[in-house]
Amino acid sequence: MRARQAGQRATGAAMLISVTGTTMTTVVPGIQADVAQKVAETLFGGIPLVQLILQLLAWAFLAIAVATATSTATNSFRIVLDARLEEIALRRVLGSSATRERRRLTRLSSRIGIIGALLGMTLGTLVLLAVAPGVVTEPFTVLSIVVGATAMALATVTAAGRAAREVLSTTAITGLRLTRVDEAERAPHTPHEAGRALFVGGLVVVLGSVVASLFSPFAILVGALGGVAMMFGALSVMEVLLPAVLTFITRLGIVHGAAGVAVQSLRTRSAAAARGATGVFTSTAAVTTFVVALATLTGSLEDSYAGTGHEDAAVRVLHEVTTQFGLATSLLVVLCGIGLYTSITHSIRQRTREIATIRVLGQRPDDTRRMLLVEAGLLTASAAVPGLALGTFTGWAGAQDVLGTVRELGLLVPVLPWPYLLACAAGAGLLVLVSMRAAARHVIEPAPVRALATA
Amino acid sequence: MTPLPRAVLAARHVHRTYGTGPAALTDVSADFAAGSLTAVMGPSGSGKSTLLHLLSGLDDADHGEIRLGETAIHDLDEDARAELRHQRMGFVFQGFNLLPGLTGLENIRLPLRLGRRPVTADPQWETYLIDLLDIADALDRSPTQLSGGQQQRIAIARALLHRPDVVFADEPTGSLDVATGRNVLALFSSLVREHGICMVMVTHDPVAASMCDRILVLRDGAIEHDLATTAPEELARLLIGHVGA
Ligand SMILES: Nc1ncnc2c1ncn2[C@@H]1O[C@H](COP(=O)(O)OP(=O)(O)O)[C@@H](O)[C@H]1O
Ligand SMILES: [Mg+2]
Repeated sequence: MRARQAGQRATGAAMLISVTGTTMTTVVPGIQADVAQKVAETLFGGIPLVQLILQLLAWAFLAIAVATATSTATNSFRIVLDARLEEIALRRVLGSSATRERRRLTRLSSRIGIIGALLGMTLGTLVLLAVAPGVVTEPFTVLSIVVGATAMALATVTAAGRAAREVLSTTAITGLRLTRVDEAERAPHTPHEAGRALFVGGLVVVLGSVVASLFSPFAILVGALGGVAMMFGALSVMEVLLPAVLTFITRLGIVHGAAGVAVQSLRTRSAAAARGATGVFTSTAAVTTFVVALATLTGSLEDSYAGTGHEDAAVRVLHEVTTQFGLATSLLVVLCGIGLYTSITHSIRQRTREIATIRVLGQRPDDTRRMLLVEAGLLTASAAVPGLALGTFTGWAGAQDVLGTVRELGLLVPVLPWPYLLACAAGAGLLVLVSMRAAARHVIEPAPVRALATA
Repeated sequence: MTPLPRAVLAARHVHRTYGTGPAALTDVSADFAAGSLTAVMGPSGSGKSTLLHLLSGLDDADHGEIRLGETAIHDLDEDARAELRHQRMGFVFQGFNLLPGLTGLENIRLPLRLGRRPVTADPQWETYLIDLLDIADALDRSPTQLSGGQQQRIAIARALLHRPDVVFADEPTGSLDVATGRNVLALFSSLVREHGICMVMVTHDPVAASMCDRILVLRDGAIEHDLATTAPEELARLLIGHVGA
C-alpha cells in the first residue's frame, strides 16, 4: 500500500522530468534560431564564428539537458523500484522472472517517455509561439525539436532500464531481506573507473581547449565536448566527494547530537545518496556554466568595446543571448529541483525505521524535524557547492575559449553574478524546506510506534 | 538510588480500539512494581504490543489512565512523553533496531545524544554493562557485522545506559536462538533484582516466562490470567488451551 503510493509519486516525478526535459529540448533550438536571426541583423551578423558559437551553445545545452534529465529520471525510477522491491522479490520467489519484471518496467517507462515527450513538445511549442513565433515554422528548428524530443524519450526509457539493471540485479531472497546484505552489495553500480576517466579526461580536454583557444577560435568546439564528458562523469565524482565531505564534517565535530547521527547515517548510505545528489550536482554545474560564461563574456566585451562605438551592438547581442538562454536555463532549474526533491524525500524515507527508533528512544518531534533539516541541507549543499565550483570553472573556460584569440583581453576573470548565487541559495533553501516537510509528514506526524510498525 | 514507590507503573481501565476493528484492549488494569520482571503472554493479536505501547506512552488509550510514579502519562503531550521516555524508560525490540550507520558503542550511547537536557553518562555503569553483557568485542563494529545475539545485547545496553526506571521489551528473544534467548532472560532477571528496575516483557517462551516474577496472560484484549511465578509446563498448558479453544 505504502509501496504503491511511493511508486506512484515516483512515477509522477519521472513524468514531470520527461515533460520538463522535452519542453526544454523544444524551446532551446527555437531560441537559438531566434537569437541567430536577431544577431544577424547586427554588426556581428556577418561573422560566421558568432553564428557557430550560438549553435554550439544550443547543442551543448541540449546535451546537458538530456544528460541531466536522464540522471534525474534514473533516480526516480530507482525509487519506483526500491519502493516495490519486496513486492517484486516476492513475485520472483513465486516464479516470475527478472526478465518479466524488467519488461513490466519497460512498458511503464515507454509510456512515460512517449507521453512525456509529446506533452513537452506541445508545451515547448506554445512557449515558442509566445516568445518567438517566427521560428516555429522553420524546417531546421522543427527538425531540431523532433531530434530533441526523441532523445528525451529514449533517455527516459534508458533511465528505467538502467535503474532496473541495478535494482533487479539483487537476488530474490536479498530483495525480501531474508538474508542480511550491506548497502554496497544491494545496489552494485557500474564501475566508477569509466566515470572517473570520463571526468578527468573531460577536464584535461577543457584545459587543453583554453590553451588551444589562443591560436584557434574553434577551440570552443573541443571545449564543449570536454564539458559534456565532465557532466557525464559527474556520478563518479559525487561517489567520492559525498562520503569525503560527510567524513570531514564528522571529524570537524560541528554537528552535534542527533544531527550528528543523521550525518553518520547518510555516510553509510552514501553510495545511494550520491546517486541522488548527482542530478543536483550536474544541473547546478550546467546552469552555472551558462550563467558564468555569459556574465564573463558580457563583462569582458563591455570593457573591450567601451568607447569603440560598437559597444551598444555588442552589449545588445549579449543581452539578447543572456535573456533567451536564461529562459531555457530556468527550465533546467526546475529539473534540478525535481531531482533534489526526489533525492531528499527518498533519503529520509529510507530512514523511516531509524527515525522511528530514535523517536521511541525519546527524541522530541521538533528535534526530529531539525535533524531532518540538517540531513536535507547537507545533501543539497554537498551537491550544489561543488556544482557551483565546477560550473564556474567550465563557464570561465567557455568564455576564455570564445575570446582566446582576442589577445589584448588577456586572461579573463570569471564573473559569478551575486544575484544568481542568492537565487541559488534561496531556491535550494526553499526546496530543502518543502521536500523536508513532505518527508517529515511521513515520519513525524504518525505516533512513533506507528512508524516503527510500518517500516 | 532514590527508592521508588512500590507500584511504579499503573494502568487503570485502559481501552484501545484501532479504527473500526474490534477492541485491541478492553478495560485493562494492572500495576507493575519496581524490581519486578513481568512477562506478558497470549496468542498473536491478543493485545500484548498494544499494552506495551500504551504503558510507555508511545500510543494513546481511547480512555483509561496510565501513571509512571506520580506522572500521569495520559495527560502529557508528545514532547513531554518523549522527554519521559528519554529520561526514565528503556526499550528493547524484537528486531533490535540498531542504527546501521553507528558502531556498537555509538548505538549504546545514542540516547545520550537525543533530547534537550543532556543525560550524563556514567562511565562506571557503562563499563559494568559492557562487561556484564560481554560485548567488548562488538563496540567498534557495525551492527551489520554482528550476530543476532550480539546485536540484542548492544540493544539491551542501549536500553539500560541511562538507568531507566522502567524497561519495555517486545519479544526481545524472538529473533534469537533458544540458548541465546535464555541467556538474555537470565540477564534481565538479575538486572531487575540487583538494580530495582521495573521490566515488562512480551514473550512466547514458557520457559522464559517461568523465570519472571509475574505472568499476565492476555486474550482478546483482556487479562485472562494474572499469575505469580509459574512452572513452564503449567504455562504451556494454559497457552495451548488457547490454541485448542
Ligand atoms: N496499527 C494498528 N492498526 C490497526 N489494528 C492494529 C494495529 N496494531 C494492532 N492492531 C490490532 O490490534 C490487535 C492487537 O494487536 P497487538 O497488540 O499487536 O497484538 P499482539 O502483540 O498480542 O500480537 C490485533 O487484532 C491487531 O490486528
Ligand atoms: Mg506484538
